[in-house]
Amino acid sequence: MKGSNKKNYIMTGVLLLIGIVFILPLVMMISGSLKTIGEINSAHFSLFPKVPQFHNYIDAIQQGMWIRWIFNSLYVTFLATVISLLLNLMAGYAFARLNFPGKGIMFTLALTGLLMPPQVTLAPMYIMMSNFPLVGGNNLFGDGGTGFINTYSGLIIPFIAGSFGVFLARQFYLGFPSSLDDSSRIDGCNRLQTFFKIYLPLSKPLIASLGIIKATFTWNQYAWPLVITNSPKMRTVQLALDIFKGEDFVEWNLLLAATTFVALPLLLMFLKWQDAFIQVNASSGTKG
Amino acid sequence: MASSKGKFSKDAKDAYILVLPFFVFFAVFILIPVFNILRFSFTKYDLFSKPAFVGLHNFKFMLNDPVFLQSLRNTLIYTTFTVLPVLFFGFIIANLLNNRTIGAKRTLRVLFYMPYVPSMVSMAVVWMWFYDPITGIFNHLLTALNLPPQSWLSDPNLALPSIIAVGIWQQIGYAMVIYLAGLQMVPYSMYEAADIEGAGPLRKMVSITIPMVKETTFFLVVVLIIRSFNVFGQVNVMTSGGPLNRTTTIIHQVYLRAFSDFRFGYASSMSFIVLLIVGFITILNFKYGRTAHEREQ
Repeated sequence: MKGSNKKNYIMTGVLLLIGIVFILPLVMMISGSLKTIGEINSAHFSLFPKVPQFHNYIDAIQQGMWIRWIFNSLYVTFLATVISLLLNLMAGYAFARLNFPGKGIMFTLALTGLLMPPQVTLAPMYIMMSNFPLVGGNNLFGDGGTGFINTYSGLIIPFIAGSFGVFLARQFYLGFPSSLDDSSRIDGCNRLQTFFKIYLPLSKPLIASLGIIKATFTWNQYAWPLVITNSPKMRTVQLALDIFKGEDFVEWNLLLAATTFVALPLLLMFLKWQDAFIQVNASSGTKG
Repeated sequence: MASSKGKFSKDAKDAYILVLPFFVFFAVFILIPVFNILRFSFTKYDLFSKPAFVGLHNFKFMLNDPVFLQSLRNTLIYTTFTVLPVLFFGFIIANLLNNRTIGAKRTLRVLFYMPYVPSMVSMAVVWMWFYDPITGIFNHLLTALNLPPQSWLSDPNLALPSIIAVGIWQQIGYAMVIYLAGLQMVPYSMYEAADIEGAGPLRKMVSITIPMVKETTFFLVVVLIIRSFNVFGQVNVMTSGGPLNRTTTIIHQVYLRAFSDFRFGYASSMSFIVLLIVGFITILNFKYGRTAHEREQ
């Protein structure tokens, strides 16, 4: 056994080399964002800029409404994550620990939602959100106004109901000893108090990992924000990249600076909490 | 669980307070839109007037719509040539990382997983730069090798493969992580027994590893196919479906027909096709997933 645990340094080195080539696009994104436009357009390619042009980031942000777009994305990501986490944890606890009529059918229906990709409901979701009754000037029948178009609620609401978090929470709570419920019952707590006073404070690891995944998922959304917003003020960062790219003359260094701005926070979060990222994603099908 | 009838109903009330906030959102914003795909599929609906029932017209029209048929073809090509390489490379890398003689495993895992973390849009933008005919790295490389430069994303024959490459690159790390989890379930003693019987590495791979991770493979196939059938973002960002519709996909057609042409009925009927495929694969998943699970017990 001891002999077989000896490291194969050559193979490890080869794999590390392949791994570095694998992330070269990310390295080039960052290094390209620090080049001058002259270096980008030069016929001689060099991996790194001669002098890092940090002002590219300021120049890129000053085009369009990047401050507003970053705020929009942060706001939508924060609210969608917090609300969705709370609802997922509550439901996960009820599915794990409580008996109630209709539990089986609700659980089965939620199960079918697991593999449902959001893109497939793009058109009917838009119809519903734009014709939502009593919202955005709409009457009781959903006519007359613009519904959830160009609103923060429109950007947030479709991402609240994800059923993946419910399954993860249920799985997490099934691992708790049921004596926890019995003792809280003896102490006179009802089930709501048991969840909020006992289970919720013990859920920090779940909140952290599920929260990271939900936040990444919401931050990275593209298709839904594309259809539910059309006012430049309500765009999110992913849409902003798409628009920025669509300008007739592409200044790649500035575009790459904006791209790095959108991608780097996630990459840094991943480096810090890699286990949470990888474990939760390993148990999920859809991204998020 | 319930100690008495009265207790049970009190618990049930609390249970509904806990479950319903989730379930109402789920029903309204996931179940109803799915049901509405079916409903609108049989209508002509431009958003400005009420949906008008047209029977099977949308589906008949679809069969004669060359752009839709092209998008179906592109989606099938995208799916095949994304899912297979992702599975293959994910499996190979996971096996290498699972080998006891390999060091720096955490670093390696981070490196291979990293492309999966940022958004598809941001990675699509970076790759558009690589594909840029003048400033892109690929043409720099071709020129250095004395080969003719290519116009990657505007060449009808290269555009779809160029988009596929991004999808493969981004998802290998995901498949690797799922396979790594699956490989933890394979008992090391099986390999030791095979060693005693003198089995080589290839024999061990074919007779032990591949059958033991069959369920993982099945799960990955399901997830990757469903995702590929819904590919939209990289297409809309990188090529807008062009050149000559050679990269348009079903969901991209749904987007164009609904949000450029306001043909929501027709768009819904295309979504319905995707839904059928997703539903079929999901059923397969439950069927095989469950029997495999029961066999284990």
